[in-house]
Amino acid sequence: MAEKVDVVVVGGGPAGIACAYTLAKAGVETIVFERGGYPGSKNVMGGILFTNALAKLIPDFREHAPVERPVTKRKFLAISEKDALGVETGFSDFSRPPHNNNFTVLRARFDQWFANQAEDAGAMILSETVVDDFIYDDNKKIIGVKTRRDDGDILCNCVVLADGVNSLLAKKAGLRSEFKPKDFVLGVKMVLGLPAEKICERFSLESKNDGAAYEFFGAVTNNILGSGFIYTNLESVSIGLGVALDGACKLGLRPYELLDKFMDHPYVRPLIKDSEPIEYSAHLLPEGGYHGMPHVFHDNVLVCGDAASFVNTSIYHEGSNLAMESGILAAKAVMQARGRGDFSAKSLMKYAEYLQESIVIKDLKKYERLPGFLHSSPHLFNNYLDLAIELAKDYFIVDELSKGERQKLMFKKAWGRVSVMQLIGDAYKSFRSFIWN
Amino acid sequence: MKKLSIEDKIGLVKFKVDTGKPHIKIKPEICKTCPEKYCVTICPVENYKLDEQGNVIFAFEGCYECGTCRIVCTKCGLEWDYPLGGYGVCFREG
Ligand SMILES: Cc1cc2nc3c(=O)[nH]c(=O)nc-3n(C[C@H](O)[C@H](O)[C@H](O)COP(=O)(O)OP(=O)(O)OC[C@H]3O[C@@H](n4cnc5c(N)ncnc54)[C@H](O)[C@@H]3O)c2cc1C
Ligand code: SF4
Ligand code: SF4
Repeated sequence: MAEKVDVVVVGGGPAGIACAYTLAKAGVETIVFERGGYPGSKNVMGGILFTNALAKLIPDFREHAPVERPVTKRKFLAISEKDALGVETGFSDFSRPPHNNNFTVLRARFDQWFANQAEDAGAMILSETVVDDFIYDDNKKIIGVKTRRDDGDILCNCVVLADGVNSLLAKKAGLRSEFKPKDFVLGVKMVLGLPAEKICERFSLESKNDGAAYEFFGAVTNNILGSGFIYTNLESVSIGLGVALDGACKLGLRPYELLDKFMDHPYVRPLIKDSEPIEYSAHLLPEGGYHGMPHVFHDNVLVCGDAASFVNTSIYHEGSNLAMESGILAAKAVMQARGRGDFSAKSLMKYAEYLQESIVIKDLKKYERLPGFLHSSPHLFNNYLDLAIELAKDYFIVDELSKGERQKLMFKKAWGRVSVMQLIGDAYKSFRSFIWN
Repeated sequence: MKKLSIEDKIGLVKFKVDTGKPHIKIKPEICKTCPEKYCVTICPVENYKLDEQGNVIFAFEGCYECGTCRIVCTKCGLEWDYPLGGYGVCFREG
């Protein structure tokens, strides 16, 4: 006879651990299965951990968690082959706690720590265990999971799927359709070692209690949908980029070649000069947004985090916080269902209601037009970013031409590349997608 | 910074290989008929290579288990699963 627990959580990432932590604190018997050697060993992100959800669970996390630096300075840069044009933020409020809830982390370390907190709260975390499938009763209702271990069947009242972007289990449960390249971004990343003082010098940071996050658009992805990043850790920098799978495949781009080229860009090169390569990693990211979401609940099962496609890619790249938030809400719905002794879809529907009222669905809904718009407008990056950089450069040129003559040439150049109608159309669509839905 | 080859990059990462038990298998007969072969360029660790005849050769060691090949494969030319728990790639930074 297989063992039985109250709740099985599949996946020891931010979504699964936040869920298990919440359940364990409320005294619900919970087991987390993680396929990696330890939680975090399979996980990669840029990464800025947005700590708004974490702070609800562990308000004093800053004193204990392996976070690297708070993000106190941000830059957004358009780059062409050799040039760069950007805006910088330096809001002094963000230099003080809670630092706008932005901290750089390295996931292999952070996830392990977070899992330990859930364990201390009473959850059981079982690493090195792949969940392969569900156990069903005669009515095709999920009553447990099959793990790839001897005697690996476990019965439970409810399964929470937090198994990440490749959720094979959501597919097996019939909760999602086929995975399509247009709904995914592939991220590749290097961690490069640099002494803390060098990092402060190069990124103009006052101390190791300040950190920088630079985002890059344009040539970094060969002008296809995606972006690049450099984030400062305590004694390393994370540098990487994400490219839309469909675009990258069609152009035959090799992700690590893009990364090599990015690291050799004249703007980037001095920032990482003489650094020590520590790790090269890669991971997928769901990009489908609101319309890429699977069904997130059914009889005896809930889906959260990347498995549910809860990532606000837009310009914010928020995934970690939505994962944790959805994990917490899944736990709340499970506790309610447990109180009623009813884990049917009707009872677990509370989860969908909680999500609707939370930033998870509100933010995804706000940017619902964005993925479609960006996919249908490949010219956006190509035409405008390069042109903007060129025009800015022209604007600052000092030579024999008068400023008036120079600016006339600039107008000519601009209207030679984009038509007024196209500009108005794109501006309208951008406005609807990015700002006012 | 000196440019690293893809082999050097992967060399920075720890793996526990389940020897002789590939978690991904390609179906060479189907791959032969695949016009796109997206797997070859998109795999972040270059696990798919073309031989002189243009056949796809696959090695599972060094796989990051990212799932990209599974999603871009247009011809169902592969069987994809996770390796056994605790095996495969082990990121120390992430
Ligand atoms: C390149 C890149 C950059 C990113 N940058 C940022 C950023 O800067 N800020 C941000 O907020 N978000 C970022 N994200 C997104 C963020 O990483 C995710 O949204 C977040 O990790 C989702 O958490 P999760 O718990 O849902 O999934 P994951 O973190 O992927 O966790 C899933 C877990 O489930 C385990 N698992 C999977 N299948 C099974 C199975 N069958 N059995 C047992 N265990 C299983 C996995 O090993 C893993 O530990 C980035 C993502 C990428 C790829
Ligand atoms: S994309 Fe699929 S079918 Fe085509 S070569 Fe690659 S593995 Fe084979
Ligand atoms: S899962 Fe990712 S790393 Fe592994 S072979 Fe496929 S594309 Fe390459």
